[in-house]
Amino acid sequence: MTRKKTIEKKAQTVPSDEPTNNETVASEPSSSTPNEPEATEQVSELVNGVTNLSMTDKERGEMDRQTKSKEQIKAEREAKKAEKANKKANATSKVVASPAPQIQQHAPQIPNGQTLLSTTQVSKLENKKDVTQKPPSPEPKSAIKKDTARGNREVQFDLNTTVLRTPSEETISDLPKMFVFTDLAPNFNVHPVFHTLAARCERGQVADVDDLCEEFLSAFVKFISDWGAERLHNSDADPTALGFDLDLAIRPQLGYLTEDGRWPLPYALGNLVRQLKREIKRLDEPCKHAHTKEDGTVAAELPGGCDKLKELEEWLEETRYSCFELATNSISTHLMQKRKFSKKIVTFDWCRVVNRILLDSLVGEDPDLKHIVVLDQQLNGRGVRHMDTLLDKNVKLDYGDLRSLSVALHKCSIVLIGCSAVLSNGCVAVPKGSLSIALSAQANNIPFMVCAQTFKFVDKVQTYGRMALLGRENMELVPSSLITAIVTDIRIVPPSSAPAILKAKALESQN
Amino acid sequence: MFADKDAIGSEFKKILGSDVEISTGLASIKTLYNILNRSTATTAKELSEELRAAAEALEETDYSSTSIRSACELFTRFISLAPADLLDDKDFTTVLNFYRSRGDLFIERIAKSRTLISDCCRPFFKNNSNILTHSYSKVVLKTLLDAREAGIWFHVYVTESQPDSSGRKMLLALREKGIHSTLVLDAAVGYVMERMDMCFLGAEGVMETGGIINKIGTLNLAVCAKYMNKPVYVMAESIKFVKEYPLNQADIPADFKYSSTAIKSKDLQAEHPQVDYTPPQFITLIFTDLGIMTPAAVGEELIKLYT
Repeated sequence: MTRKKTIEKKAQTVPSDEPTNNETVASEPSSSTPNEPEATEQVSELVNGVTNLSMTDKERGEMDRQTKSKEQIKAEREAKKAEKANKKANATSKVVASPAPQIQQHAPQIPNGQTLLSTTQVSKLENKKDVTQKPPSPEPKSAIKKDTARGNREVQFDLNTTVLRTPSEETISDLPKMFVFTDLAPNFNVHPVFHTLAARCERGQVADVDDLCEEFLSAFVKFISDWGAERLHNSDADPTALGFDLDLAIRPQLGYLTEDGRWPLPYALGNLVRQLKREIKRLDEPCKHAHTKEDGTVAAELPGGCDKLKELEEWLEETRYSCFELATNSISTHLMQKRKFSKKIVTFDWCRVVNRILLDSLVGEDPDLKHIVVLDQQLNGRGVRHMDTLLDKNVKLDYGDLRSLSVALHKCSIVLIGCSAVLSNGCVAVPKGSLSIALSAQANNIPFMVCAQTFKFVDKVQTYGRMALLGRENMELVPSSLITAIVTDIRIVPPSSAPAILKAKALESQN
Repeated sequence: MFADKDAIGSEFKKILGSDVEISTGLASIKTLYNILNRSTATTAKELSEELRAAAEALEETDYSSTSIRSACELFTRFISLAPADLLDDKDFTTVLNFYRSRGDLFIERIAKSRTLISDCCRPFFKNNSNILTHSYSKVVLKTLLDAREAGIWFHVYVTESQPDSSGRKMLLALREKGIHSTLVLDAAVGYVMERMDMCFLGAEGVMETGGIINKIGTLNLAVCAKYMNKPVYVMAESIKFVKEYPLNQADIPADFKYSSTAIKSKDLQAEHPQVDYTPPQFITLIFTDLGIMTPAAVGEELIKLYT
């Protein structure tokens, strides 16, 4: 059932007037009214004056002047002044009256401790909004707006308009009024796990996009179990609209993480969120195979759609397992084919998949891998983590910064680097500094290989200067022409096969 | 239970000997098809084991193991694409019969592939052009002969292609059909390149990179052609697509590089490789029975086939 249909259906069952909410919606336009009379007044004066350039109006004005006597004109002006004074008085009284209902608007939600709203509540609101909605007041189109409160003119640039919005980037502006955060109750309906996640990211405790995705998935599991528990107590909740309700409930969470869609989610995380949403939408579809007991009777579904939520939790756990553990395993086995060939490996920055591959290729009596060089953008950077894990292994280990690149690449068999995303044109988002390694590797005829799990393939070609959660991530793009191969969990593929991988894994944006 | 390795090898050679035109890949597929027809397997696992053992036996012959491996893998993959409910059938003979019908279909399709490639290539021929080709390739030969029959005049330069002088065989086949042709030294490729209009190459195997593995000397030709901006066209049947990703020459699997007898008996350090790997950046287009492809499209095609 589509969202509109559900709302309409619910709207019929709910009584349409509720005093507090009606007041709220009615008082909405009040904040903009004080400016209106003045603005229209100015405009009308201009029209009557000389500035109007349209020929027909001008002619009409001249005609009027000729026909009206001086006394008539005087009387008219006086009448206008009186009107003006009246309007001003009205406006000020409205300004005084308006703050109280605004507070009322959010007051009912906080004391209940009810952070998440069910469909019925939302539909009530939307219904009321439709009934009392007024046509939007005409606003000046210029970016320069007159701010009457401050009395000065300032330029307001809408920063959000430049950000391209895709389905994975969350905005909450299209949500019913109740969901939108204000100064009064900032993020009141965001689950604490997401606050923790955002705080950890801000403090730099999340190293890279792999860690972020994993933490997001586990945070989401917690969120779902809490949400499900809360929903059980809510008798209004419609069991057939589970997915719809959950979809509404996760929007503020994602909106909080992306600062209301200002920054896009990191590529790989955006992918996961999109898949997750697809899965949530599926919750409302009727079950293909009903749970039947041994005696043939259909098993009763658990209340509140608990079994469906459990399925979703299982899906999350499965995704986490396949994206991180299984994928890393198979990447490592694919590179094992090249084990005989790789005697000296150069790597750059930290990547846990690369680390795992290095550890795996050192297993055994006499491993082919004899020499590992770890490079870092600056000494004592993240690459030190590789050194920590590899120190006690029987292998020659070198560490240096980018200045030692030429020495590192001498007699090197392959350069192996982790990445945060593979774009659909074959470009790869890698840690800063990798581009110079890629260029020197090409100049020295050394294969430049990138490890990427398939969930890191994104159907995008543009880069972002800044992203949600990871901020200005330490990242740059390496063009596909410099990449010899991408090692994925499916197999080793050329960068030009990125669209094929997207298709095989159903990660394209239209899905 | 499994057929004797030597018996499979001799059967394969018999099929190859019976028809001069037949390619190594098609011959190995026919061998597998015969084994499938004779099979008394009762489970899918048993059958796949049987076919795998046969494919290994075929690779041990001295023919191009690249072609054999790709053909066998694709055949096994193609016949086993069965609807799921059929596999649940308790009687395995119905599944076997289905596999056999798929095998028939596959062989029928593969037998047509050379004609399809030749048709794809036709618009690229121009009158009075000079064409350079390397070694002896049945697909290239068929394409050239078909173009000549269609009334196009061109001159073919064939490299001698040591160590087995297979270029001479190509030269004789071309002259027999009245095509003007010249034999050139392998070392003269750079010298003759500037007067060429295009280069035609066959392939033993098309890799996932979009590059090809072919008779040694192909890389020299491709590099020269790239330098002098001459188009390099590769003709290869789709059964030659291999699931292998060589990073450079050193990374070519040993069983592709050397004959199986050389691997068994000799020190490989002293042995000359029989093939080299031409990376995709040196190839303009690949003509296959699936159509004309850029090298990048091969990887995609293989992902589609094997996922």
